[in-house]
Amino acid sequence: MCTDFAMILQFLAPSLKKLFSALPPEFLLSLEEIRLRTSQPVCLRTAQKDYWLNAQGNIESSYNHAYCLTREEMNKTVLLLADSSLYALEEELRWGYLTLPGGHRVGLSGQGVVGHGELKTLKNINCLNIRIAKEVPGAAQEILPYLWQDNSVLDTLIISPPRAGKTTILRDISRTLADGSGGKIPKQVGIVDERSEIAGSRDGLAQMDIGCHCDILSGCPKEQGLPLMVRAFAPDILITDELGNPADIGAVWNASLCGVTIIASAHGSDIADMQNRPVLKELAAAGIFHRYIVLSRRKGPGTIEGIYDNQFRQLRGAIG
Amino acid sequence: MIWKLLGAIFILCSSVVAGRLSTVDLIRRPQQLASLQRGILALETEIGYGATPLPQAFQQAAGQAGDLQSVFTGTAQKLQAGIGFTAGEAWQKSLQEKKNTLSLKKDDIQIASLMGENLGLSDGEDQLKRLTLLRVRLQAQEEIAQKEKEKLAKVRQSLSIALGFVLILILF
Repeated sequence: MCTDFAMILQFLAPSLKKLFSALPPEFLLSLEEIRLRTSQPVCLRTAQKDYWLNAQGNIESSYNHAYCLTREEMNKTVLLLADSSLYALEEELRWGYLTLPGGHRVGLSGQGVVGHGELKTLKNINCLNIRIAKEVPGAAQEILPYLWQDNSVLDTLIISPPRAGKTTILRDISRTLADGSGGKIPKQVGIVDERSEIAGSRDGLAQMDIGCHCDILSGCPKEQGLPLMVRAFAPDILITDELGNPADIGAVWNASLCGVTIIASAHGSDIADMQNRPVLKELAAAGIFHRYIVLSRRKGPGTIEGIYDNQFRQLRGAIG
Repeated sequence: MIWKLLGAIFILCSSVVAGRLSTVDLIRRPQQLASLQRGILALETEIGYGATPLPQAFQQAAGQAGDLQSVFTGTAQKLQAGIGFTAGEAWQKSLQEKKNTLSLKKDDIQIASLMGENLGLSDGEDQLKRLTLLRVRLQAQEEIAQKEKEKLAKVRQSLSIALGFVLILILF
């Protein structure tokens, strides 16, 4: 069994852990997500299709004979994920996810507790989505030549739907630029990792290889994190994930005015999609980004659908 | 004559020691209940002010828990071992493992066990309320134990010495 998966197992209720222990190692390599829902079949998602876990710990193509998660197993798994201390994770519960050692992200959902019109926390957690983080060295290899111009790195926005590999590619870009791979001079890279997903930080410490000249600020909103990194670390390049809030525009704009290169990602399926979304439309109109990379899952995570310049002229079509 | 005198002194000393021994649990029980409350108070501080996760919070609170230090440390160790214990299970198991080394009564252990229920399962405010309530119950137990100690400890010691004298009179 791969070490990473063995680490995830220690956060599952013992009865569930026993079932997962029987999964074949070759299947674990392709596993992307574990979906746990109280009283519902245990779903295992791979890049190709969804499978279901049966009561013997084998995988099934249909959920008819699948094992249904009990409430006790859900409660115990939640407690193990939270280190038996849900009160210590109030911020994470408000965000709806937490990060495990190794950078694996667990999405949580249940009953919201609202106070003064704002989500205070979650209770009665009944749905978990364990996303297995995977490092893919070289994932950004085909993109990197388009990011350079006259020994400078261009401001770049990666546009992709969920699960299409944008975070993996951001991580590989960080690693490559901060290590100075390919004969290039290493760049000082700063990552504002609001969801602790790029570097897979746990207790502020990166669990993934993001390059040796890289500083990380995890769990901090972008509008506060980006100026902090500019002030405190004077990076050449700032990397951040999932732009989308109106407050992000000002933060990205200000960082860009300071002469820092921005490499970011946003949800979307193509250039037109981006031009229709309010926040992204404004960012595009501001002319901050000089490269747009569109990804999809058409041929698996990280499929490049197109690379565009700041005038949205296609520099390269679908790859792979 | 000298042997009789030595024998009488020996019986008298033994009765004093037996009297003291019979009151050890009576004396220790309120002390241990107070130690438990101090440990819980330290736990409340860790939860309330530092939002410290329970494995570390138990480790920190152990220093304040006097005779119950091993129960707190045992809980922390079980949680840190990553063997699938929730905080409630780890606390109850540690308490069961150590209860024979403590002077606490069955009622005290039952109240202390209640801490395992819902431990770590809710927000900080709720956790603090539950722990405070538990301390209030333990404080009531401590008061009862204190009264019992004051009432019974002297009686037992006096009775033991009196029995020693009776034995001396019968034998010599």
